[in-house]
Amino acid sequence: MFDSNFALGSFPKILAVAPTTIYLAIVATVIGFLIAVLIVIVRERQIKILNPIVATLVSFIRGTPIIVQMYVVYYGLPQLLVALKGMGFNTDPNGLPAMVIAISAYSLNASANISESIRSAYHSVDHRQYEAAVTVGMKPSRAMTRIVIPQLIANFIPNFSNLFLDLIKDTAIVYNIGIVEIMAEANIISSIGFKYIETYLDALVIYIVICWIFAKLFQIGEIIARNHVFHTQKTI
Amino acid sequence: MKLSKVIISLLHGLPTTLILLAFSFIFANLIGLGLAWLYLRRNPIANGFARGYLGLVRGTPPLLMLLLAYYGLPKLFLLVGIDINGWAKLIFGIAGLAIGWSAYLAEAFRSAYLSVDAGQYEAALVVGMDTKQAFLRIIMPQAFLIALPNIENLLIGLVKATSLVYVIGIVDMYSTAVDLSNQNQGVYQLEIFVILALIYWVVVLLIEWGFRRFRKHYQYVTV
Amino acid sequence: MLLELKNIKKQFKNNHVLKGIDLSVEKGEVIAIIGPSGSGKTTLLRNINFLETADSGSMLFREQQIDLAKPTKKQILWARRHMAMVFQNYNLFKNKTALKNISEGLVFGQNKSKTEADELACQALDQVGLLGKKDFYPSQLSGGQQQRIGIARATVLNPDIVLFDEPTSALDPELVGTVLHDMKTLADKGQTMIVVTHQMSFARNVASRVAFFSDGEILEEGRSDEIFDHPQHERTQQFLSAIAEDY
Repeated sequence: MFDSNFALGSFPKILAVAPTTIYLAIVATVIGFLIAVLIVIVRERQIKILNPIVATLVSFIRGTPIIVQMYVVYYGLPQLLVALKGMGFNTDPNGLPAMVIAISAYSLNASANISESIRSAYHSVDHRQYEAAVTVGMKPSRAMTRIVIPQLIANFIPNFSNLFLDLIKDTAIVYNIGIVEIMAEANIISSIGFKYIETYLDALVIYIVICWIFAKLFQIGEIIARNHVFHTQKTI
Repeated sequence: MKLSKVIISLLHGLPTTLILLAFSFIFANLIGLGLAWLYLRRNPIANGFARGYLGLVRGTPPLLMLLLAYYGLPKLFLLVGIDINGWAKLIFGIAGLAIGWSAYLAEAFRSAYLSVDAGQYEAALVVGMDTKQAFLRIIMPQAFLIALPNIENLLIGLVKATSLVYVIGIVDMYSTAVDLSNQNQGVYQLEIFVILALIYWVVVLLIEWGFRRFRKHYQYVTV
Repeated sequence: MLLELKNIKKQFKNNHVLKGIDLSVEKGEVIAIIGPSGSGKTTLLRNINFLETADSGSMLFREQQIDLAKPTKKQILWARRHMAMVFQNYNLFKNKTALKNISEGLVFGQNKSKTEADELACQALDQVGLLGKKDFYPSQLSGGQQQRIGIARATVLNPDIVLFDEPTSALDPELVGTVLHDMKTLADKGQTMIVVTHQMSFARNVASRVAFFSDGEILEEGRSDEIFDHPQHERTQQFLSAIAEDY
């Protein structure tokens, strides 16, 4: 009832598309991070008009399933491009690659989550650290970059790691818009052989190994950051 | 087709979404409590089992977990001679989500338990409680309050994850939307998914509101 | 004799925290344990009520002989239900109101009904003038108020002996007085107490006997005026002169 030859035979085929999963997760996280920094600035500086709009958007994105967001972008982005074209921008709404749609949707999703995570790391830095920096004569901007942000980064890495791993797992639905990543390949092979559990277990192993590797990388990153910032020793 | 009709059609899928949410959350909590208990044992087998379970499940995409539950559980049960192939898909959906979320909840419970001030337990013992009473009356309520923000986040994550049960053919709010957009031959597709997103958002906002009320009630319990 | 401790020993790794402590307490006595930090004073208290288990030693309490190294669960519960403890950092139950902090032990340690327990707790709060705070949670109370409730929580149980573990050390200086006042009132009523303290004025004026602890041993023990006015041991003299401004 469990065809281990089929499972073993399928494994390399599924593994071969794993880079697509990782590529999507990394690109979306990097873009999402950049947007998140802007969101954090708007929200922490409480910039008028923008702040409530951004806060609502973040709440909306955090309150809706990624698969729904993906379809909103899938159907919405071409319409947006049509509208922009009508306004004289040089855009090509036809034949948007699926990867562009996925990266757009996942970047937006990541930006909302990452911005909240940065904010909570920011708030977890003792405010007196900033005050102390200012009282020894640092400019406020310098106090931020020399004192607050280094401490913030060390606090932020564990959360960031979780968000990134969640994003990797969330990419398991992009086969719906035609991207061939781990889940898609597993589905394709399954439907050819009518053997499901075998390929899904292959996918499971691949996901777990990917998550494990990235979790370790982030842990090492955290240790390096902590040693650098606080000079405390913490082992894995 | 009017927008109001879209909304009404989508809301027809809401009860299924909520049933999935409620049952998988309850079972995830029960399994999670058991796992946290095992994890906190000094017994290496119990501890190792819990660690293994957490490691496996937390690295698995929820979508894959649903598929594995749907295709894998019947095979596992057949090994012990029970045929569950005929069970409703909803049960497999609940099982898949509950297994997935139990690992996250277990970790939340465990870390909350460990962060309760040790002096609280000692104080309970010296006023004459036995260890069980001290745990139930003092440690557990405080651990629960510590875990609450995590529980809230996990519940919200679960709301969103219920949308994935389409993979095993359960007709919830999300798959109702997909059907609707397919029927419409490309008309109103964006609107359907925006409305769907708004409904999910409302559910999440209601949950956040409930937790806020609860927290406000216990605002002076600073654990 | 209410309590007799014999040859209590305890070590953590290579650190001998208690090197054979003997101490006996008569009913109605107030014993102050003084001495430098880290000399084992707190550990002794925690061994008496089994928050830690001694390596060896025995305790005769209410005519019951208990092996401190191998107490049974029943003995532990029995002993705890006839003793009470006040902690350095109060350890009020954070999830309970002031009232419930006091009544909890009556209900679950002494099987009193909820109404009776609440009534007794109200009286106890009234006695320390904190009845108005009965529905407050610990986070809403000052350190001094928390500790006075901590004392009420201990004494409402009507224990044979109350163990005080540096009850004023975590308090702001201006709040120490009210707590010491409550402790003196208690002593005047004849409550048996063992008090680990750095408050020399309390040790001198309230305690009937003082034990000087150093390095896991009781170096000197006697009536409080004897210890303070004519310390025999050199270490005691050094310790007392070093903190002379305190009393």
